[in-house]
Amino acid sequence: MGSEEIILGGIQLNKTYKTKERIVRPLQNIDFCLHEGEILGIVGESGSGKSTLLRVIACLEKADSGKLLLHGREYTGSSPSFAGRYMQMIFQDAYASFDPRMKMIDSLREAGRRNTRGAAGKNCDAAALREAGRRNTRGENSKDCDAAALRKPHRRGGTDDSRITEIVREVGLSEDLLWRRPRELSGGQCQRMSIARALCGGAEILLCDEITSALDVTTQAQVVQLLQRLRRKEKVSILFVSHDLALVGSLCDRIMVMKDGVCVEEGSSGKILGQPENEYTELLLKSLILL
Amino acid sequence: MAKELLKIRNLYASYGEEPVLLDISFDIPEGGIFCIVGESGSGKSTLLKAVLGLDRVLVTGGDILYEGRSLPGMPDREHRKLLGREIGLIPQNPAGSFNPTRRLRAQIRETVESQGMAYSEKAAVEAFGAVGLTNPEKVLSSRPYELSGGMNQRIAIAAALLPEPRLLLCDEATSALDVVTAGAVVDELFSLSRSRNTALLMVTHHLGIAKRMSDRIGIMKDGQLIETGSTEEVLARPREEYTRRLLAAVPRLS
Repeated sequence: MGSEEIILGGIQLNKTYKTKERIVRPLQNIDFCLHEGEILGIVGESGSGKSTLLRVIACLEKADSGKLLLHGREYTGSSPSFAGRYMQMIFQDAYASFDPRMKMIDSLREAGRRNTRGAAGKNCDAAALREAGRRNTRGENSKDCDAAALRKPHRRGGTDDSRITEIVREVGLSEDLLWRRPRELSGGQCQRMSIARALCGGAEILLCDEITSALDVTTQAQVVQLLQRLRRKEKVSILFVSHDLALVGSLCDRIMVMKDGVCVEEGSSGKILGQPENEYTELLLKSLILL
Repeated sequence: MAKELLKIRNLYASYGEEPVLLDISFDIPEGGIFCIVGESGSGKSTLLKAVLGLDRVLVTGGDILYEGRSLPGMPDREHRKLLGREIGLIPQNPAGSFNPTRRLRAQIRETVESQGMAYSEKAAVEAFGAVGLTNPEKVLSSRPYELSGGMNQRIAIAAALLPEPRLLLCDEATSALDVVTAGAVVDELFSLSRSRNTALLMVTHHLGIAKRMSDRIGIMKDGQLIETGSTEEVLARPREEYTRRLLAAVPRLS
């Protein structure tokens, strides 16, 4: 369904953690690409490296080696705030991702402010360059300066209150909910609100980390429909991490199966569900408790 | 027809002032598996708490009969004696029910002894083996925080099965596990229930689990059981619109 243009990519990503007893390798030579308007599913058990991959992509963690590409430009080693202009994480625990004391409208305005700062044309690039320069003199290896060469995010974020209201309606919520605090919303409403916040930030890529695992089947179906609508209408590209192969199969165009930090199989949803080649994919399929 | 073990008759219950359960009735025979399916907030967990007499759930009408004896009408001491030994519970979050830093052997021993039975290492090793834990001796010597979520969940199941209860309550026992582990745990629970003739009252929002395990199913919405029947019948020919909506929301492999 996505266009041919690759919006996001990773080449030979590696990541290693050392604990007292052992060495964990959540990413081992991972390659991936995400086309514009595509939904790519990443499936695996706990500890397979799915979440680490998302965190590395969002620059919340640094990979030990490998390259990250955005619109064909390398952004490896950029700051989280730079990556945040183009992509936003949505977490499993929506409540925990909001400040419990802030009203929704304030959380969304904050995201919108960050977006306008990020997408304000020349000023932005100059600021990014200055910031990158500062970092380089501090000896940090930052490639934020590539921002000058990158094209701006094409989506308009939550620049003012009327746009925020529009976005909130788009995710299927009533604007009255903007005046509530996180705990005054249901789990499904709060998760939609965190998607709205990502859109207010102007993100064109959503990095979804098990975003429906804490929700009921009916609420899960609503969130899934929302993602499909956003992809269709807003051309949002989505990386969808989940351990539920049935869910991923019904939502995604392509699927990557991960095990112990290695991508064991990759292909279209039809192929992965219909003719899996890898033993582990077969095990995942067999373990599904279906209706 | 097997003897009825648990009978719930026109049960009304509330949390403080707020009524949560409205006119609930169903039976579970010895060794039967009954599954209650519903969304968050439908009152599923409250029903389990009412059976266990926990957490200030107030029974305001109707009755819960265990082998013909009324549980809400029973003196507290007698009710507590049934818990664990006759009526077991597998909680949703096992990590929250164990002390993370004490060795499991000591915790299991304490639990078993508090139920008035003698702890036997052999029985514990067997119980751990039965739920598919490899190397049970080593697991008994470990502390919960050193083990994965799936292992902790299996241990909670083993601990609940150790006194050989006749009725086991499961509150979303697999929702915290990933698919491969959940599938294995569900299958183990099912075969253990069948081989020991243990009745199960399961609460879940996962219709697939209900289909795989249960003989009978109850669909719960806003504190009411809106549809009950044999699992096959309800899933194949749902009478209620809500049940049809639930079924339609489940992702399928196409």
